[in-house]
Amino acid sequence: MKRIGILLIAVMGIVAGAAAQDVKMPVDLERLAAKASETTEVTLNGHMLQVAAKFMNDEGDAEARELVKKLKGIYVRSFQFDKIGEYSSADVDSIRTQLRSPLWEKVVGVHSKKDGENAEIYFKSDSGDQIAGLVIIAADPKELTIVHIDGPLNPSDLDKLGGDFGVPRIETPARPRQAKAGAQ
Amino acid sequence: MNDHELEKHLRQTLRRCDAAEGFADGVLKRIAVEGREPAPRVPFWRWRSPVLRWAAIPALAAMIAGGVGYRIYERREQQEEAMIAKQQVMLALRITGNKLRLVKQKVKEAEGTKTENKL
Repeated sequence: MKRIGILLIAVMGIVAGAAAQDVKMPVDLERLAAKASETTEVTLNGHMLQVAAKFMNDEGDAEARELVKKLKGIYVRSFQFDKIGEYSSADVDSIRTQLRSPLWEKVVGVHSKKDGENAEIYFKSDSGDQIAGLVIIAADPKELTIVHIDGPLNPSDLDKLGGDFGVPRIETPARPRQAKAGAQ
Repeated sequence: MNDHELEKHLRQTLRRCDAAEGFADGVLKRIAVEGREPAPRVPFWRWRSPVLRWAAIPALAAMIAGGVGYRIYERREQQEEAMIAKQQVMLALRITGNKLRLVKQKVKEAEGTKTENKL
């Protein structure tokens, strides 16, 4: 009886551990870097994000800093290829398999037969109105991008991300008005 | 060995006997040697040798400079690491933003096509 109890606790621990385990970038993806003409790889864990947040003091950094402060990790793999067919669907399948867990939900899936562009967005569900994570898989014939943001995101964060958030704002200095200049 | 024999053996072993001759003197001598207070530490500016005294000053200055230099180096390293992290964050957010906008655009296009087909 005692043994069964211990076994049950162990099984529950394994299940809980598996549920808590987050999406991992497949090792196979690194292989694509050799074929790609351009590779972007970003791996930032919670510590690095906190370090970065401390130095996000420039004008226009405030929104990004607030978002970054609460995140646990940002992982990006982006590959651009010169030729079509350098990667296959199987290369992305291992990440899709991880997203089949009940915690993840596919919220958008766009498949374009015309230009061969596919995009999928997955949200990790959380209690309340927050999202606990986001995965974007964007694939076109010559480009494959996978983004994994681990951490709480609220709808306004997503609006900002989809808006001009993250893109440096290039603002032309306002010209002094003629009347004001004259008055001085 | 029975109890009686054991008791006898213990009595024999633990019997009172006088200390060896000169034992007390030896103990008193050791107390006199070990109980002496250690020589007080003399700060370097009171060292008798002027060479040692003058050599200690640059050595101390070098140690302080080394410590300060290391702190500056460490801080610079941390700043560089943070700047790289910040650049990577901005790059990641830019890519994420671009992809989200792309998906939004694709969804809009798909909705537009559906509406056109309905009409």
